[in-house]
Amino acid sequence: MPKKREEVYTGRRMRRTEKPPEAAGSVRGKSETAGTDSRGSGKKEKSRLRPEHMTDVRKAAKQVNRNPGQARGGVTAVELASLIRRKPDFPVVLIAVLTAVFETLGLMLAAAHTQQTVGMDSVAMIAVIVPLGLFTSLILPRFLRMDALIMALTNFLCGVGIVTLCTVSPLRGNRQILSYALSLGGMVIACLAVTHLNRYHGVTIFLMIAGIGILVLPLIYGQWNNGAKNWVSMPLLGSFQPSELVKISAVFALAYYFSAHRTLIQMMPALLFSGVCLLILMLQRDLGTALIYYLSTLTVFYVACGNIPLTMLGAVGGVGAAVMGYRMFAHVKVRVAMWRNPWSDPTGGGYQIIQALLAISSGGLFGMGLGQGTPEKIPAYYNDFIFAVICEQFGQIFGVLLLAVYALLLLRTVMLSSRSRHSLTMLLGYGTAAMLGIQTFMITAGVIKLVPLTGVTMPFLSYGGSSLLSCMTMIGIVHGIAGRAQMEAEDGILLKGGIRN
Amino acid sequence: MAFCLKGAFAIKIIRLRSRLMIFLMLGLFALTIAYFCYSVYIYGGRWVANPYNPRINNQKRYVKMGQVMDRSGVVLAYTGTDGKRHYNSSEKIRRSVSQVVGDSDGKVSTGVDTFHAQYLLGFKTSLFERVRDAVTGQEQEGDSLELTISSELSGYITEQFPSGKRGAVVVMNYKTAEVLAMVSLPQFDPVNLEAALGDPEAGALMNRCTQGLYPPGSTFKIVTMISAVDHLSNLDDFAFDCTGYYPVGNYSVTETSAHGIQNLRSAFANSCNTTFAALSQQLGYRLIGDTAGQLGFNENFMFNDMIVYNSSYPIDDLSPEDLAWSSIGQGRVLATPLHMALIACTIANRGVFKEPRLLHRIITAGGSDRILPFVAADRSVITYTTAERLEQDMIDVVRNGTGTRAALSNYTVAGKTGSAEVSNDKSVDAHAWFVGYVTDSAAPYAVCVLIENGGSGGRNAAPLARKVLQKAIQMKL
Repeated sequence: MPKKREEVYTGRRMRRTEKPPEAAGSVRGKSETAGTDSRGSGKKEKSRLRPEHMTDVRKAAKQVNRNPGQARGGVTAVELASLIRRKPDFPVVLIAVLTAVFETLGLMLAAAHTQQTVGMDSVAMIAVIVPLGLFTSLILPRFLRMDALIMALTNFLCGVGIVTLCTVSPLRGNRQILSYALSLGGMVIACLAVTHLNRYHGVTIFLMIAGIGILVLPLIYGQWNNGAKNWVSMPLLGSFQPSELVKISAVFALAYYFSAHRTLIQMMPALLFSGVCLLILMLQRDLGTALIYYLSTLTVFYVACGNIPLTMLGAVGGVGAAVMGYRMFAHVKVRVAMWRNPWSDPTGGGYQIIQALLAISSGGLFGMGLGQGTPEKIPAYYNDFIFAVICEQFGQIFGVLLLAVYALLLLRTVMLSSRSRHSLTMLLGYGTAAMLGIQTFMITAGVIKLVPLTGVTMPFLSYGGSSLLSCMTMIGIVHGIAGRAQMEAEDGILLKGGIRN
Repeated sequence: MAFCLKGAFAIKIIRLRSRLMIFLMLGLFALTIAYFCYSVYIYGGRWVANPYNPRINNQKRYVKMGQVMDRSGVVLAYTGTDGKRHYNSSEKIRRSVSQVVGDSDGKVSTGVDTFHAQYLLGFKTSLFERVRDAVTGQEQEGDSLELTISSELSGYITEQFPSGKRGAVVVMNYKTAEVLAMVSLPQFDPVNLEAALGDPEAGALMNRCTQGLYPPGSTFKIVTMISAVDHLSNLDDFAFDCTGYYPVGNYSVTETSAHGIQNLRSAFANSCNTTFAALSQQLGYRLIGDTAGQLGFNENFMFNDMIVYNSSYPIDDLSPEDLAWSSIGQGRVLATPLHMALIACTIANRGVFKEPRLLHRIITAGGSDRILPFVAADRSVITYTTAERLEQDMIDVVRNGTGTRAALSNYTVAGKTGSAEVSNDKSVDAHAWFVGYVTDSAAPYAVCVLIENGGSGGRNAAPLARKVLQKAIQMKL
């Protein structure tokens, strides 16, 4: 029998229409004779694997393993399909519905608060984002093998960002809703690509070249802005921040070259790519993003090869570069000084961080309420400092809750990717989690003065199309990994009536 | 150079490592959350009350500021229907609590009106209460504060304070650590703030009790004494012949007259500088510094109820003469009157340091009580026996030593006088200090009197302390 399986399992997915190797009928006969089975009576065959019990292919596999007699080819392709088009879990429904209610009420309040035409637009936008959120959380995962929980949590975070933006800056809020809709498209494309791609080589090479290509654009066409030159305005495309989008290239490059190839020389392309990105980002003075790239590369390197001496060497190099950066750039010195004691210059260098701290503390545990307070006193309140604004409006408890949601998202991402049987998808998932996690930590800890401030956006919450698109695309990658793992599991059930770990 | 594993095992290892790294990252998130909670809990109130917070002034437009009352319910400050801040009708009371209450514009940054604006302006009002107010259409009103201070006692202190002098008087209940009076002179009238603003030299807007950093003079000998009791052996055999002169390094510590042979207790009672200078050379910077540190010197006071400036005791071991001077509270040692009162409370409480309280009750607009902010847990900073011994020494000061003018007829008073030199010019009077408390548990009052350039502590500060204690006992606070 194992021989037969090898013949069929070629590493690719079986087609749905194919019947499993063993004839289903014969096994079913067996199951009927074993009428003593706990749920043998009643609806007989269908009762074996009722979809409402099987919310997950894993659970289905467990069920199959528990009753090996039924298992051998006991699941038909049709039944499997019904398993996959499963009902969403209760927590997912809860989160999705709560998000929808939150968005509806929030946007209506925002409109009432601003009482302007732009505010009225956000009421119309309810009709866009609420169905979009419900559709992507509840319906889409059933067809695209996306992870419903991740989708629901992502939608929740985006919803919080949009509602906050709509109250403090209605114009930006409305633009953010459009970016959100666009980013969902990016996410679906990424999900489909990762699920169905079988050759990553070409894609990775393409992403790397394209990444470097757009990353140099700000150096050529960009304008200095807040001490950095990381924005570029292109005809047709509008203005965007390439360093956000190139994160996707970096994740792919790291995962591909660190998984398939096992020598340092073969890993070089990814390391070189990261190095070039870092260099360009340094030239653009976008040190926050450079730090994200650097730390992600370092941790993905460690996860991939576990070579502690080399990882330490990389870390020491990073510290050296940081010290050099501190010596070379005056604004880095100011940032560090303002982290140590912002009160030394409360109206100058320390103004931003102090205003953030005052906003957070003024919010209290439960917040001043939507549209209350004076968030616009904080420079960059709509992007980098949105966490402080959210804490002011929704309260400190809500802020902690948001961080917990991020933590859950990261945990779920890594748990999903570790279901995978290939190091490439596993590293892809880990790299995504590292990028998102490091960025979230850096900006949150910076806003509350735990670490020196680095001007990066808060994933999903901050205003900015590039940032949202990049984050959602990364979430799409995670969905793709989940989908792949699921398909592999489906194949496992089809082929041997169980699942291989 | 294949340094990575291959095959199924490699995948398992990668899975393991990716989980490990993500748990590390979750650890960072947990750290962020922990720091977030910590900083908001510790500093949150101070940040809200910060003069750079634009929300305070903004909130005043929507919320009616609550009342400030003293412990017996006398209204010290309130917001009228015109939206303006009004104060007590009696000018005496207005002036004697002026720095404690402060003003609504934040000119007195440590005043209750500014520092506790988060209550007065309803930042602590819960969502439920706010929604209820919005539904009933009631005007939003902040909480009212009942302070622990007594306006009557404050007025009395102001009356009794030597006229024309500047200074500070703190009265505390050492059992509850409540501040019963904080009077700082010169005072200002909040109704006529311009007069005070026009004379910045006087520093009327400053609360000298909590913001005034003075050399503590001989009152610091309490600290040196505790250090000696804790760290030196056979103290009972200690004897020192005071010749009125003790050479240290290139300088010498002098005394107006020779005290003769002194044991530790008589040296403390007579406030003998030379004996303590000699003691300090035995103890050294580190030991005195340890004791001073335990008693709150060099500590960043983060009291919940009020802002108190940090007292300092140098621990950099500059020179023997600097050590000698600092052991008698001169040189670079600086302390606030409130801090010295806290040290007296600590000895009265047998070595237990309690965080001072200024808020007596927080009353919501609806009339119910809000839970007071938590204060730091009481901590034992000196041992029971040491505190007991110090109390006996301090009683001796009032019975037989420099502080006899502070003695009360029916109560036992323990205390220490101080006359802190502030200038090399002998014609400039020293700052007069008296720190002490009533030992009887029926009248648990501690007092700290400071009269700037008031001359001798025993002659000028001690009588005022006696009057203040008597008044507090009489009022049964």
